[in-house]
Amino acid sequence: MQSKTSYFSFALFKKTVGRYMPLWAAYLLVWFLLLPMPLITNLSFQNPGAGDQIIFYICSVAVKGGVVVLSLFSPLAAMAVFGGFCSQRSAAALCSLPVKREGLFLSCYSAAMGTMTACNLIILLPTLLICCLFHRISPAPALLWFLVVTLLGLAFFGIASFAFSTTGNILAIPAVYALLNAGPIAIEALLVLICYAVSYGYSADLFPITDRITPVVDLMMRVNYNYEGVGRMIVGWRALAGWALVGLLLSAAALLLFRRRQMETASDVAAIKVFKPVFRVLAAICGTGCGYIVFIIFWLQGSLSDALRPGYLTAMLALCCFGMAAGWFCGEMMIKKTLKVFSLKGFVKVFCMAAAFCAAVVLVYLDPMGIERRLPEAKDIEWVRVTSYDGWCELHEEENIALVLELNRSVVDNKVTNLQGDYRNYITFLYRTSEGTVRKSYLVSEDSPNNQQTVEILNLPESVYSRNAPSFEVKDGDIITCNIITYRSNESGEALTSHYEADRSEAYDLWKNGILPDLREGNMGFVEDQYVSDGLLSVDIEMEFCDPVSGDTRYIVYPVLPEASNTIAWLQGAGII
Amino acid sequence: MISMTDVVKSFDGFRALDGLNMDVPDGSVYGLVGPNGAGKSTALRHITGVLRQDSGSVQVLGQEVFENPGVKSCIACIPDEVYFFPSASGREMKNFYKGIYPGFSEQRYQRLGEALQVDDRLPMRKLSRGMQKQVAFRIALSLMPKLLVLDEPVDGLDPVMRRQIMSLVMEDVLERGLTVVISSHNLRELEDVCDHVGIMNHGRVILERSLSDLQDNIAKVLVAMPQGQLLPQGLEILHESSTGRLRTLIVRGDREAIAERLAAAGPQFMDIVPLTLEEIFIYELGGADYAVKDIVL
Repeated sequence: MQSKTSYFSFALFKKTVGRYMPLWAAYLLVWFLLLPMPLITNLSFQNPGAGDQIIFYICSVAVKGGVVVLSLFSPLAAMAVFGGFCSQRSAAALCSLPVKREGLFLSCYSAAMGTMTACNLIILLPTLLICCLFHRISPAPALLWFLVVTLLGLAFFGIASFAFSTTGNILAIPAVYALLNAGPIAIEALLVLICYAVSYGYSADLFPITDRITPVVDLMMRVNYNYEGVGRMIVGWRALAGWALVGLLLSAAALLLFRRRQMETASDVAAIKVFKPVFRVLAAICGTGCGYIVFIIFWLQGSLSDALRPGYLTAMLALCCFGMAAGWFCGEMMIKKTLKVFSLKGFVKVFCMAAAFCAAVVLVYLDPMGIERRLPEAKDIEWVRVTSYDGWCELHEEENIALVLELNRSVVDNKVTNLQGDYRNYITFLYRTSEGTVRKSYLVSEDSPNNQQTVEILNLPESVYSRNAPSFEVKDGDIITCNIITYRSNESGEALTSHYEADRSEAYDLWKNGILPDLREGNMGFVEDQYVSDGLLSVDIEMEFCDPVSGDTRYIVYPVLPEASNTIAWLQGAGII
Repeated sequence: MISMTDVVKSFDGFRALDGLNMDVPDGSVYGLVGPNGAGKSTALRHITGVLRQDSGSVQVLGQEVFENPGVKSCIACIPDEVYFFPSASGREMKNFYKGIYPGFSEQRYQRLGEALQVDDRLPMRKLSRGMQKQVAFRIALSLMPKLLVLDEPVDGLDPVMRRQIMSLVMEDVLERGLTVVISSHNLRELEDVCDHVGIMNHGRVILERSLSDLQDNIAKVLVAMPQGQLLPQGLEILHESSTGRLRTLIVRGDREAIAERLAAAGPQFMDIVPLTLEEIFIYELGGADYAVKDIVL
């Protein structure tokens, strides 16, 4: 009595493809506008470098365009092909068919993946033709595009399928998909932002850990294109293949979940019992995030670190807890499909969560473990970079590192004083130790003694040199532009400006015999508040350096001070002043 | 044909089916009746393999029906609200089902088209509810099922079309031995077509018999006793009402035995009439705490 259509239903596959033809057409149109169309419009573009530009364009469309198009299109495709299982009537009709659950899932899954692949092939053919016949370039970039978008399709549609398998509500599919794509990074960002606000000196990248488990971010960062030969047009294959594998595994997990799914959950937000508490907690976290955003916008006007004020901390906790409660009860409403969710049990749960959250935040704020005061040992520090409004410096010498540590401790000791006043300066310390980097970032009040200490450190000879000299040893030819601008005032106060453009050898000579000795002797390159001009003559030297190894360029302006005797002598010798 | 044993199904803690037992004989027309929320539609969704029971067994043709494509290919179902793919025409729906059900008969489909004259080229969304039902019946009967499951099947159909469709169904029952399970609140119509009846309440079948057994086992008695004379002891009276000295009794038991016992008490007037299915439904549920006791017939 076995049906011939038990594990795959061609009729359902065909019907699913046919029903959503406009969606597939839109996908095809987007790729047509991104790939063959620009190649056709550039047919007349036949200069010698055009081939390279076209290869570069196809690869960039594959890796960047592919991530954007597939990450946006996949949830739409999942909503279309699996939407039938998200309403009681259609789910009952589909599940009464003589097709196994695997057959239902695979027929719908392959309708989406198959059609997307077919559309990719339709785009590939004209692209290949245009590349080979008209632009006379290798077919490799077009084939690589096909491979990349196929792998991206497997990755993102797999995630979208998994999103569907957890929910019975069609509108929840993109929400769960977004959560799977950006949930970890969003939660981490929330934690980092709260730590910024409550822990004095806390500083970290916004997403120090979770970018690797966030597909869109990871693929955008790790998959790239370059010019280096056919074999290396696209880099990051491991990430691509890895996420495609994750997509396939999630598709398999989705299939297993769908097999066990109770069809009465069609239209429910959480299709699987175990996800209900997870959904409530995630809704509470979203609510907490919303409360924190409201706090930043309305209390801090966007300035994060003001949160350190005790009064603001209370407001932040109140808003976050309110957001948490609102999120939790909204989640409960969506799960139970009723507004009557305000039970004593619910309030007790929310109270417990809010209490745990407040306790954690207050604990970080009060810092009983002394984490705020914890700094690297001087002996372990290889170098330290200090940054403030006034400028920056990088210090390697032992005695200078000790001065920086002393400043850092002083900033922490003055925490309470530094939190007063409306006008602030910021000081950031980046310590490079044998075990990695430690970053501390502080706001200090305008009248804090730490400001003067900072300026003194920024004007140490080593600081001046590190700030004003390139990181590599400058040789003849490494200075690619050099402009000397002279401002003079005549007796009537009228300003006269003259401009001299030095060639590379002159520039190197000026650097070697003028600027470099002055920087080493501490005659110029101080932070701005040390700058002194006689009011009659001032000279600015603009230099652009090019690192011969990396090709990186750096542009530095040297205001010439009266103390810069070597530079002034060179300028006088050259007849410029 | 269908055997449901101790079937339990809960939705978020609510027991929609609470130890349901139901047996539908081969070739029978089984009417499933019950008040709103009794669990009829849930039971039908188990029979069609849409829902999986928490415990118990749901067998059709001697096999578990859930995830059994072989059994499901022998079942056709027309739910209360018929589902069609949006913008699909009747013909497209027919082609879809034809691709899935191996027993689909094109010949039968064409022949049914003569009886049910709805243009199958029209998009389903443009058809009235009754016309959609006609298309659904045309497709369902063309699947050549062994079991036809109908949930409120004639809602939206005009009286002529109701008779037409039910006669087509009965034709299949007679010619092919089709088994039909019908859930409906229209008990007068069920009475015309059903040979077996199951009454559901609170997720259980509280009464399941052939219609003739059911009607033989309960009687409506009109009786007028002499002044001061009481009714004889031992009658299982489900309901009693009176107008003057004339009493109307609904009595469970063999009709002849009831007549003999009452006659022995020497009534001034006595008449025994059979109950309609609707009356049986109401009085049986009256005994099951269903609030119909004050309904005057």
